[in-house]
Amino acid sequence: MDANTVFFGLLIVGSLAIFLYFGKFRASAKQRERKNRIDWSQSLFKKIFGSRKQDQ
Amino acid sequence: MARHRALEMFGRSGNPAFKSKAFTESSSDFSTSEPMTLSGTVNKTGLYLLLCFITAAWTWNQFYATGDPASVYVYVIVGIVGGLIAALVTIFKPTTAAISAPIYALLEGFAIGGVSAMVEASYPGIVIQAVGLTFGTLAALLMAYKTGLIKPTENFRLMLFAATGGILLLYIVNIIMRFFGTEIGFIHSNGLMGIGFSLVVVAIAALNLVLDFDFIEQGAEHGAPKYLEAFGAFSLMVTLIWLYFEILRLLTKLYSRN
Repeated sequence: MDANTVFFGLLIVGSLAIFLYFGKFRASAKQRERKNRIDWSQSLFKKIFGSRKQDQ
Repeated sequence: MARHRALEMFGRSGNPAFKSKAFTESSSDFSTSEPMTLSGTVNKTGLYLLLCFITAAWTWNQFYATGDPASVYVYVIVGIVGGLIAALVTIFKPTTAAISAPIYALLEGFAIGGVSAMVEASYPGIVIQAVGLTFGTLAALLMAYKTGLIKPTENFRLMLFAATGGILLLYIVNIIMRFFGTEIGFIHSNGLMGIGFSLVVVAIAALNLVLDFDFIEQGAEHGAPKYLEAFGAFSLMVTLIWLYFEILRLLTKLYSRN
């Protein structure tokens, strides 16, 4: 096994472990408690074309 | 019944197309159905990655058993076309995500395995680098999102939407031009322009992961219906597969310069 395989193999295993472990935790309060969060309740299409209608 | 109620609240279309009531009401409003959770979404993503890996390994072995690229062409085409159909079904009917998302992962695996094996035959060692960089980007951006280092806003979403749409349009124009025997040169060139273009596309694909994280986080926070776990995992898979192909293309350009 060459160094390329070892290095990137470890990177894959480590990254997957991070994703599978930390992905289950909630984001920090800094991320969650801000006022400019994305409003997923509104479709981007509606947002763009809705505002155009309002302008007209 | 619960499924119908959820549909009324979240709408039929995919990713950002939630209906406004969804995030203003608590999970108790979905008392008849289980709410979406972060761990459920992560587990499903892990499962889809495994499914994708299984079919990719199968096509990979098929290529190396015969040594003939023609032996995997069918799998690659079936994977791409079938994957596209499964993706469209999932996007336009998210309630089916629990079934269509694993099918998408399996089919994409065929395409990934075939393409990767062919590239690996030309540039040994390139595939493990592309996979490593893809998962490395996933982990780094996840940590950046969870800690609040990257804060996705409406403008961020709009910017990425425009950039992703622009790339999609460019690729479609390139496909049409190929029918007439020509193409947009810099997309595939290994010159500075081509490498710069690939770097920009990789960055845009990677930033789409942040949008997926935010979508999943807010869905779990507001007690979205259970089927959106599969849909969130599907969104992550689509972005990861796109990112992998773009990184592979970038590395191919870099390798071909030597």
